[in-house]
Amino acid sequence: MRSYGRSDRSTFVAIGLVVISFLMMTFDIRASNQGVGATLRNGVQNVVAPVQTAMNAVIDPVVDFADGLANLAGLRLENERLRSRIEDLEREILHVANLEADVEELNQLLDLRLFDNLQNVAVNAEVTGRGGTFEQSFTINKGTADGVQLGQPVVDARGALVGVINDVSEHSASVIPITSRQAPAVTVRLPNGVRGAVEGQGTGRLVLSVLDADQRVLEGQLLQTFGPFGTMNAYPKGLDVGTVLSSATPRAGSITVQVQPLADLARVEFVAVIPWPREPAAESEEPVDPQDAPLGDDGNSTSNPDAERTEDDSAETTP
Amino acid sequence: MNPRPIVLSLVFVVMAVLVQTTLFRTVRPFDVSADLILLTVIACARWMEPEPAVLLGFTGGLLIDLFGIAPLGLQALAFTLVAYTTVRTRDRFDYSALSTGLAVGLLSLMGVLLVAVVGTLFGEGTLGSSDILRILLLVPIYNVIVGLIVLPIVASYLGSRTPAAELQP
Repeated sequence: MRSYGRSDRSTFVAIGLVVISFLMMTFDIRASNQGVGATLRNGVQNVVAPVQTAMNAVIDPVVDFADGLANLAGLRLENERLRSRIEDLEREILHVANLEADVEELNQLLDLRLFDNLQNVAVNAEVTGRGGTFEQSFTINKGTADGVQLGQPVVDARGALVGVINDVSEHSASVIPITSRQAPAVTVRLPNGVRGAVEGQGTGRLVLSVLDADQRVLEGQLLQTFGPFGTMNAYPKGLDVGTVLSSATPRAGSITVQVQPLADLARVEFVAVIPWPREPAAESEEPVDPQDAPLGDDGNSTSNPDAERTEDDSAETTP
Repeated sequence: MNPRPIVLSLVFVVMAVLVQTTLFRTVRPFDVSADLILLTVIACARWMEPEPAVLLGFTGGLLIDLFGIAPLGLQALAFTLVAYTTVRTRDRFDYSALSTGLAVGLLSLMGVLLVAVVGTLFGEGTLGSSDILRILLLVPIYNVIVGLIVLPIVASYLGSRTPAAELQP
């Protein structure tokens, strides 16, 4: 056991200091923050304040830096949370953008003006399904119950030709786009009045063939449906079909040139089915086979280019 | 009496007051900071002669009392008693690092508890505070942690004269 020869004095000192502390507390409380205690406090704080300010100027940036490091994990989590939130908002923005596009398309559909006021009898429909990657047809949500018939032309909200009804049930119908090889050829009118035939190539583009051509076809020329001509009555007059992609000069009396369809077939969401011909066609449950089954009574819907040309030729030669 | 350790320990306490009122104003994990002055008093009292050690405790407590609004003398009383207890128990500090840490923790707890109890007796209502348990728990822990830095520093300046050597009759 260690001997504390002088430790008794420390006990007395401690007891004395404790008593002094009690007395100081008592007087300080009785002085109610005035008197000697308050004066001492103010004095010490006035002396130390500049030192504290100087130390804080050094310490605070260091502490802030250390705080930043300590909160790194928290910042990572916050960063991830904000990233997730941004992704959600971006998805919402895309969704809203899609809705806006739909609204715009529907507004265009409402403003659609067609030859002979056909817009008044057209059946507006929404595209409800599309074929696979290599399947170009799409499905709409209107069918025979809404007056949709086989072979009727389908236009987009701006009135550009999209395709024809290929198959129809009571509440839905299948549309074969004009770019499909299986789609019936379309007789078109060039701006100079010359007739031609447009066929799908299965590539998203069309090919215009003009027989007995004597003038150049110019890039950007708009092609519209020719309308009833002789026995051909598959499309009403004046539907926009496409624009010529490059100028071409007649070779051996004919022109073949690529055409860009005006309708955005990959993105179209709302369409109008035109009840054409005016007289309802005989309802058929058989799907259209463009190779050998003309639509209704006209010969314009055949996809056989030779047949089309032959008919065109004969039509053109008909006085 | 050699004045060097007394002067050095006073310097340590003043520095501790400055650091306590600046650095530990912002470094407060879980809203509680280490009590650096109490820790410095404990660290210095390990190596000082008994009477100066007790006086250092009183001085350190009084200094920090001057920076607060609690009754003047409250922490002076607590730190005096802690310094006295340190002097009385310091020969048991050096068995191992664990015993040193434990002693620092218990002495810190004693200091905080004394401030809380005496403060409550003098109308501070400290024991009724909702944070009291957190403070009673965390201050000793923080002091043990900060003591890993402070104790060796103080020992390097004051530890050349071992308490045992000084206290031999």
